[in-house]
Amino acid sequence: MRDYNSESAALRRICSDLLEKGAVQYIVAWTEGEDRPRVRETLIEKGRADLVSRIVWSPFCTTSTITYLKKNKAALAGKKLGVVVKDCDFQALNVLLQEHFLKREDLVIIGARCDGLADAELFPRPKGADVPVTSDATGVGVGHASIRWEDSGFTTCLTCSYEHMKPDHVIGEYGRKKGKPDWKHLTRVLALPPGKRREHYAALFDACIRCYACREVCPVCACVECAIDPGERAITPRTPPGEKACAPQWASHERHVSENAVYLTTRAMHMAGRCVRCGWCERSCPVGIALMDILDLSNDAVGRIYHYEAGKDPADVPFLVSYAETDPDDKGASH
Amino acid sequence: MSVIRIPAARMEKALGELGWRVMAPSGSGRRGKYIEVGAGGKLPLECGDHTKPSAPPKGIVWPNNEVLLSYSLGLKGEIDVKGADHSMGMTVLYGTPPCDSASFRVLDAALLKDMPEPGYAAKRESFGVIGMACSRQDRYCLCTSVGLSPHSTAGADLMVYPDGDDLVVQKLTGRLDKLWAKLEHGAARVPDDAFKAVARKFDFKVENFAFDAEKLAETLRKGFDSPYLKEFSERCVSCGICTFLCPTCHCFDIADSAADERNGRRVRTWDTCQFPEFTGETSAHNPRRERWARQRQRVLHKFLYHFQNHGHMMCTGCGRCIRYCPVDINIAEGAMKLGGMK
Repeated sequence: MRDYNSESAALRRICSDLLEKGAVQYIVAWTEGEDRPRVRETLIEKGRADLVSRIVWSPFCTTSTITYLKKNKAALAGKKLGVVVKDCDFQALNVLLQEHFLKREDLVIIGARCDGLADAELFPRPKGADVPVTSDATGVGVGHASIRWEDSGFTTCLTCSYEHMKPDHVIGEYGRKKGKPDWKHLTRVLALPPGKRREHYAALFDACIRCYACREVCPVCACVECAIDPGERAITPRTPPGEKACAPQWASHERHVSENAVYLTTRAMHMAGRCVRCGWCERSCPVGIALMDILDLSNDAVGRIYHYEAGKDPADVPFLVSYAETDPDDKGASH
Repeated sequence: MSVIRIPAARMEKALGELGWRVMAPSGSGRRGKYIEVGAGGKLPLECGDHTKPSAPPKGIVWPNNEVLLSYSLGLKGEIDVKGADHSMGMTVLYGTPPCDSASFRVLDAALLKDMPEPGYAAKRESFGVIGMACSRQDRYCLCTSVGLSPHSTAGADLMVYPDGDDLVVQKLTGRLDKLWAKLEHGAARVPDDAFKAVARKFDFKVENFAFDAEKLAETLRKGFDSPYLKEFSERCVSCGICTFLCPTCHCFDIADSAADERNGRRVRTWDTCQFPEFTGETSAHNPRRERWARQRQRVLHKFLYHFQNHGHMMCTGCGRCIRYCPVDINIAEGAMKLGGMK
């Protein structure tokens, strides 16, 4: 049985030490907010004992500290940072390190071994600070309330197999056997006759409201200017008018099934070999689109045909820039 | 005051006879949706957090994708521009919680006053709201903090109070008179005392966030340059969840979409102050490039600007932006801290 309150206490000691000794200038960690057991990523600097005392690690750390680094990249550039990560955040970090988006020497990584995540909304707000937060092989508990892993609302965690985390400091021990990627949901969809399969995906695309939360929360979606409906354009006062006027419009602003399909499938293609299956996009989607049904089409191909695991090691060559003459074709046939 | 008591089945029957399109919440949360209740379909019997879909009902009269005009260029160079027909068949929204009903008061104030917005005005003509008193709150509800309550009638044309197998129905405007005539026929009038007793059942205080928004508006101005804004928004990912799910946010973008060299259409879609490019100017200047400036706009628009202009809060207290925010940004907490109330 894991006791996350004592693991959090250990984490607070490590963070406090790093800050006090000047090993890092800032720590990015999860802290308790107002809506416990929900947590929020927070930037902590030396002297903020009030924030250090709120640092927490639990199965409710469902957000990504790497997304925080991505969103605050400019402000944190050149700073020595401590960052608290769980397994999938570490994988995402590896992807960004492979692509030279971040520098390893700028970071002190504190890795929390993760047995899976759970939706904070499934639990009542704990009363009092010392309510035990625990997990074992079967599920998660907060005080007297508990749920099974299968019901935790996080399908990608059930099939997470990553255990190659090599952080500078480590928190906790695995209390549950890691899963294996299974593609049951995908097999089910792909087994449908073409018409039905089309209906399935059309329904997913049709529901999209284009809030772009999936893109924005994604720890590895790191383009400054997204090909699809850029949230921010890389223009400066010196960009010539002609260039601005000729900015290509790959997908129109229109929200309907075909334009939404361009957005969602383009993202899935672009994520090939980069998606670490953290699943945060799917659980952020405000209209409940089963995004993994789309993303796993490319994830499955990357793993099954090319035997590549995204974000496994920071020294790996990124999937989409590697090429070998012996690469199989898209049907899996070798040459 | 016109209040009657009818058996619940009578509402279904009357709406069926009128042949109106009836929209009602189906399911809750991310899996929920406001959907069309077909002929003979069941109407919801109560409302609360368990019947509140993640997507608000504003899309019925303020669609996320609305064609404003279509154009074509003929072979001889003649240009044909067709305006869109914005009208829709008579539509009623049934069983909305007071937070969602009140959203139409806000949208009306923003889109009908002074210079009516033609698309919205045309749809609003044939659109009515039958609100329902709410019996269940969730941990993000804040209606009583923003001047509303689980039984407030703002934005509703008729208000329904479930009472056992009956519905107590209160008439508020003349917009749904055709329906009212059918309901009223032979129905028992409810005297004032009895009505108060029914309404009292829904008179619970929502205590998630204890503040009085009207008092808060007074102090919020001082928060304009607050250093807290950066802390508030440092983990914001700039997605559109808080605003697209907001029942009252109504900002939009207009873009031309060419089908080919000769044909295309002009389309209006939802836009949001949280997207960095929302305030981007052609010169590359962007007055709200930073996330704290964009979050400030959201908080102050909801709790200060709209209140100054229209006398009611733009936030209706549904709590969706707090509940669905991927990074736990809480507008109530933010507004209280900015206003120095916390």
